[in-house]
Amino acid sequence: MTALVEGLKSIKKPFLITILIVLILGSGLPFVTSSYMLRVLNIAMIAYLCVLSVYVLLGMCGQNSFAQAGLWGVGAYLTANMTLKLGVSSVPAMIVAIAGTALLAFILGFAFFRLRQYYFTFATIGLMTILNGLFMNWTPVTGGALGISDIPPFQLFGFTADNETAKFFIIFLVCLIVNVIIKVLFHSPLGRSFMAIRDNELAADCLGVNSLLTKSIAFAISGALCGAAGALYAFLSGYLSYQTFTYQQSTMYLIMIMLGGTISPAGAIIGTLIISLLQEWVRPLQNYMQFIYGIGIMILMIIQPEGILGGGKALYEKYIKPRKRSPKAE
Amino acid sequence: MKKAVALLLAVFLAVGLVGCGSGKEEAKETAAKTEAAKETQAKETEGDKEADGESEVSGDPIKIGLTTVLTGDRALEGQYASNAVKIIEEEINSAGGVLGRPIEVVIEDALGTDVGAVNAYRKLAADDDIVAIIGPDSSNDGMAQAPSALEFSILTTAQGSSPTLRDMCNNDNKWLFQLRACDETLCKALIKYAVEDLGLKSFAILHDTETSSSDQARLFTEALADYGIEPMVTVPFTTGTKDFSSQIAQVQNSGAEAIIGAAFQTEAAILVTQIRSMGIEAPILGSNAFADPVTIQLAGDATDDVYCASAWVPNTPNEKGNAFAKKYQELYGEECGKAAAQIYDHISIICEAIERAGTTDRAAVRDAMNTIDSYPGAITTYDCRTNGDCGRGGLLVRVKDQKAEIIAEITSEKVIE
Amino acid sequence: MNLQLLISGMSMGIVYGLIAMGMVLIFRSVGIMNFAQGEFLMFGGYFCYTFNQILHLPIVVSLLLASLSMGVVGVLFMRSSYWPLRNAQAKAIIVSAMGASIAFKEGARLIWGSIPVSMDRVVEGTVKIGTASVQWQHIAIIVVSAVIMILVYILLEKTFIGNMMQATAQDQYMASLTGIPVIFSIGLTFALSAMITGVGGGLLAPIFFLNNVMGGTAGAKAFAAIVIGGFGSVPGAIIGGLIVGLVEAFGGAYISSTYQLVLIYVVLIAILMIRPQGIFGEKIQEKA
Repeated sequence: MTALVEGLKSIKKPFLITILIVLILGSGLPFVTSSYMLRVLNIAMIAYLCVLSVYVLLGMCGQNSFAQAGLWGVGAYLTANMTLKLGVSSVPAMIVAIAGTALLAFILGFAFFRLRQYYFTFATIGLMTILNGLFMNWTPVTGGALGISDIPPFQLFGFTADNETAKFFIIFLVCLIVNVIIKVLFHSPLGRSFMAIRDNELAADCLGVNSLLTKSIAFAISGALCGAAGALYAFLSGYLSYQTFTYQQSTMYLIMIMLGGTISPAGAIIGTLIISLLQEWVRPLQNYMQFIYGIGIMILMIIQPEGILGGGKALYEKYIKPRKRSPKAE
Repeated sequence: MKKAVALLLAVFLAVGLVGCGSGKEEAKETAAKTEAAKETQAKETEGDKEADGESEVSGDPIKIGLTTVLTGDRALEGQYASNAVKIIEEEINSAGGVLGRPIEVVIEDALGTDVGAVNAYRKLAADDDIVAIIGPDSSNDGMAQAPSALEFSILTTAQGSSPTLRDMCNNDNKWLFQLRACDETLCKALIKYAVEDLGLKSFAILHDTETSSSDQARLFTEALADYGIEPMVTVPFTTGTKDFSSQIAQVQNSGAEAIIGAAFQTEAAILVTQIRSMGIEAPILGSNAFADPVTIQLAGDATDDVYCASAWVPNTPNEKGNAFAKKYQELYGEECGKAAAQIYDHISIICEAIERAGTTDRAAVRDAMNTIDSYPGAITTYDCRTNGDCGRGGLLVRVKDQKAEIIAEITSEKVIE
Repeated sequence: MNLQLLISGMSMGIVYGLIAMGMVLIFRSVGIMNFAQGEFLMFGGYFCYTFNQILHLPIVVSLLLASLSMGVVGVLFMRSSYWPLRNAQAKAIIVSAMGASIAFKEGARLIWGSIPVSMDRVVEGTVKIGTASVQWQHIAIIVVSAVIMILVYILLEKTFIGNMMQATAQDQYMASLTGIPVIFSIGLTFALSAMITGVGGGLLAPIFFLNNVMGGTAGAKAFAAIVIGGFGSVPGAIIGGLIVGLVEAFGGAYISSTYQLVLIYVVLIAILMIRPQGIFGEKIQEKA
């Protein structure tokens, strides 16, 4: 409880103002973009939730997982099964998806975090392959290779989000809420113990952080984010198939966060936007599109090994900060 | 400075990759071809293109959207599709166009994923000039695009052959048409031939677990059940499997007289080669891909005595199809695949619908689709009075000396409830 | 049936081991997992195809030429995607390799098209061993792989260049102090790794058939081989490859043919749980 209070205290005016500005600007977006761009943005925001989950795990806790797209799929298939087979309405289905994915991640985390660093990453690659195999072949639950179609859109109190704009607002709202939660987490004791583990696990252990439990909690939180993203994706697209939840998608999340920068959630926003939009911008290249896209990722990484945010920060510290300080020195 | 060097190297690597090997000339050739195609397209867009003597084509082009997989794992489909598009565009435009206007096919990359297919679809649908959209050659993509077809109310033709997709077209989505013979017809015909004409009694099924192959495996099983036969064993495998010895060993153990296979080209070719190299002489009955030119070219002799209910073979008796296959072979130096012929048919049927509607209004074109009751295409005859299962048949073929030999034509009457 | 499974499992296993060995060489040298190794396999195959089918050279010559060209590709890859980032965090290098992997795949498609192709085998035909029948090409693969493995062992352990590469792998800074040209040494390692994997691609192409995405699955299995065998150990990679091949063959026949790949990864996770350092790996003491 005290932890939560402490975390909430960290929400200062600038952050609230930023959120407000984003809220206002974001609300205007559906009215100026085409329905196609809106779908791209919707997908990007869902990807953003998954990238945030990588941020919690990698940026805060220093653990690299390649299973995020798999967890995303778990959330999506849970939602589809709840709404279609059990007839549960949207909000409870979404809560079950979030809780279920988080629980799965927590249990798996407890097992996998006996392994350290690299080995944990390998285990998650294994998990990703296993999950994708299940999505493709476990016909009673996932509909097999053909997938599940006709998932009803998000509904609440008789309101149905059946057009792109309504869907946009729901996803946008969830993203904002999640952003606030991440901010609180960042400043809470739990978040600080994540970072202690990131910086030096052995030292954190010595200071009394239960590293296995803490890392499992981090994995559970990232699982919850993926679960939310999965539920939103199911509501958005209405159709799920194994083609979506692949290892390649997981690597895409890593690429996004690395290009944006792992130092703050803003990196996740930048990275997601760049990659999502880059993919649409290179469309006119047709045959050459993915080739240029691959080269683009390589070049961006070479120019900015710390991500765009990290590179920006370095520039700021090198040129702008000293200048600001210099008048005082005089 | 160092970074600059590194960047230069990255670019060099990129250029080197594209330009290396003796593929150089091929790459140049394809580049030249695309250039040429772009030029013709540009000319058409300008409006008054000099028609080849016969009739005048003028006005803004009528745009038809095509979502196909140009890049990524399934790019083979896109290669066929974009080649076919060039042929048909030229054919239609030189023959007077549609409603006196030239046609232009706008291609978007579906990336081989659900998200990619939907994004490509929506990009096209959001453009008011696009009259109809053709989906990728996969039932999954067709089903992913279905909700968007409803939302945008635009005629969408699906290339997938799954019965699930057929039901979706017939029942819930009046904008979606399955312009293809549903697998059910073909699978039944092949089993009928195997049981009645070849006199085979016991079967083992080997199938890929991806969508269309697992559908086909199910349909084969159902067709066998009509004869009171249960497959001795059904062995699934996943796409990308390269070594089939454990699967084939199970088939061998079951002692079945014949092997039924359902897979895509690469897997089909490996499967056939490995079955033969393990000394199994049993006849192989296969899905579409087993008599595909690509499969035959890869597997060589091993494909002899493979029976197949195929939608398309390049030496089809269909006149329109044969002419197209010849033209394709001449232009691109490779045999024409099913995906190319399918795009050819899709575009000509959409043009026919536009012609019948007499306008490019999306709703009118869709309604005109339902009036097409027997349109002769390159692959087969099409009956679009109901949305699903529009293609009316295929070919029963046997591979001999690395050539698909036609045994019989399969036709079926449309069931209209 | 069991003999057949054993033989095909072993021959596939050797192939996975060969690719895995290429990955391990790079890992030992720079401490980074190469996420584009599967694409080396594919490129080697295509080079071989070019020499064999387009320029009509004999297959053995084509294999040698393909291997040499792959050496060049390896060096270019090292210089463009690893070297500029050598001082950055490991994840940055992984991401740049992922970008390179996409570019490789698409580049190959642009050059050679997306229709799968085949080429000559080193030896045609099949041979009967007891009740099992084996393609001669598989036997050729086993022999060539064994020869390559021995050659690599000799190169690394018995020659001056090998010692230089090992020294660089252990400590780049110390190596540079003793006068070893680090960039040369690392470049050589990448070249060697690409050459080994490239030959694998050339040998596999006639039985797997070549397309631009063939590296994906093979790479995934080779990766499993490395982890199972023990991370960073060359003999471990080969043993791991054999285990993967056998699990695939027997698991596919007796447990589930649908979940072949899944089974491999279940074994991987199980082995990680029991013995995190893998079968041949050495336990590394944690440093604070």
